[in-house]
Amino acid sequence: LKSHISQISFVDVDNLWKCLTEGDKNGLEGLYKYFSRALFQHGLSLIADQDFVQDCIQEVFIDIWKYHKSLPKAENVKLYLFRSLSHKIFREAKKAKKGKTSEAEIQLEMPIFTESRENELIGIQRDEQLQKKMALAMKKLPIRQKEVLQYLFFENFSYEETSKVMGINLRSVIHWLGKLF
Amino acid sequence: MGKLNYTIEDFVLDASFRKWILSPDESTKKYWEDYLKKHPSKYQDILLARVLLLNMARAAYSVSESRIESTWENIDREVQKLDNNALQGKVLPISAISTIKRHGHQGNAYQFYRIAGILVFGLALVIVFNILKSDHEVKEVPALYEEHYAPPGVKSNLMLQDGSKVILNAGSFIRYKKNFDSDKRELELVGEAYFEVAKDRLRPFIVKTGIITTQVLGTSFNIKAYPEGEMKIALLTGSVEINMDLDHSEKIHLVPGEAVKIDLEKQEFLKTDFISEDLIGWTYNTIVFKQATMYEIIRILENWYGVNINLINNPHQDLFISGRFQEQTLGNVLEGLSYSARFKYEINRDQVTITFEN
Repeated sequence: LKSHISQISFVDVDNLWKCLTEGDKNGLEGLYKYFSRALFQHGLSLIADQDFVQDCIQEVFIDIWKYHKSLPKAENVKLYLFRSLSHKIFREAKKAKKGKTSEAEIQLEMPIFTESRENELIGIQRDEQLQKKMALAMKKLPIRQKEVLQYLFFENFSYEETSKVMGINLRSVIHWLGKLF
Repeated sequence: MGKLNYTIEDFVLDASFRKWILSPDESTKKYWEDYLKKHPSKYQDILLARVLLLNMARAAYSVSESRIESTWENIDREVQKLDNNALQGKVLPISAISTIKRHGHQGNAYQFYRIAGILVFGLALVIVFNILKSDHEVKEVPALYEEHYAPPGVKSNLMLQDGSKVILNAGSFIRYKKNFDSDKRELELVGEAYFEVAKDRLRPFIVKTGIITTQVLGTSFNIKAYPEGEMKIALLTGSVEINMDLDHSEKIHLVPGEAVKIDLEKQEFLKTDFISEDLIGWTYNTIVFKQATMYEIIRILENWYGVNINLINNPHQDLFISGRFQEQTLGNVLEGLSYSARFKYEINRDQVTITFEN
């Protein structure tokens, strides 16, 4: 009946982006405010190191301000920011030789709290043990694979949007996750 | 079609399949149910893919507000440095925020301390809040609800996304999660509604009325649960299970033609046969009174016609009235009732006065 209402409808992200490209700092601040939590979650899903992720996020925002005149037109701001962050993390992690979280670190972090795809599905009967297993398994994946799974299953990006990112055989990743059952 | 040789992985990666599992709509539902019908051998794989999708989880990280803040401060600082370097004395338009900040620092010491005070206070609040919240945050998730309200005097016909039909009686309200959950179709009801539920094996249809939960798979039934009246659930076809979360939780089943009357105060329920017309007559504009008291009648009429009825003198104690009015105006109904109940009435727009003979 009614068109789909997304949470984004309260904030005009594209307009914030436009402000930014015109050199208005309010645009930058608005984008930060709107996306910071999601970006932290995304970054931490790739590498569970708060300081490291914070640095990367800072650099992403400093960069887009630096190059605001040459930024592309707003098409998919969220994907752009997520991609930038992943990129940054990927590069910095290589430098710092951070990659997979080691088994030992994972053990230390237990118990972990899991967040499922689509929190809107409240009240659904999920298997908590299974989710923990899944979240743990997810952590062990290489960054690129994690990134793609994030996009597809947690950030609601479409397959087309996601596939731009990949040269990754998603089927094999899914197959591997399926083995958890 | 190309989806014939689908494996679990293909299902999981298929956007329309994901939509069907996680936030189904008419078209995905139809498509995948047809698919299941045509390829029953895929049932097991679909089930597994569903479990995989539903349990797809990642570790949740909470980041403190202070980190979010300080990250922004760092960005802001760097950005200002950049700008200052670039400017080197040139005059450029400044954004509103930096203008305000500048003024804060210029001369006006009072303003500065005021802002500093607010910031310190805010920071303290954040710290205290974080301590209180302990180590992990409970995330608030805005759920999107679809809401419908039929004001007094108006009945409303609805078609839900799953194909179920709802007739909402006057003065009633329902709400449900947009697209429903992926494993159930849950609605909350205040007031009265008649349901014709579309069959969906995988997702039971659940109506919540306070502590009473009515669960069905595919059926038609009527729930009457106005806040001020007795609650009554009547089943026309199919079967329903009613859960009552009383002091001792209780469960009953209804078969077609049965109704249950629930007295929340006494925590009593009474199974009865129902004469369908007095319960569902309203769905085809028929008011039916069956040994009703004048007070019940007044409440029904007020709601039905969206009017306010004032009484002068009280009706006789043991006055019970039966009657049936199909598509009648309020005037005709009152006219009909006035003979047996012995009253005079006056209708003035939405104000009605009933005067009983003494």
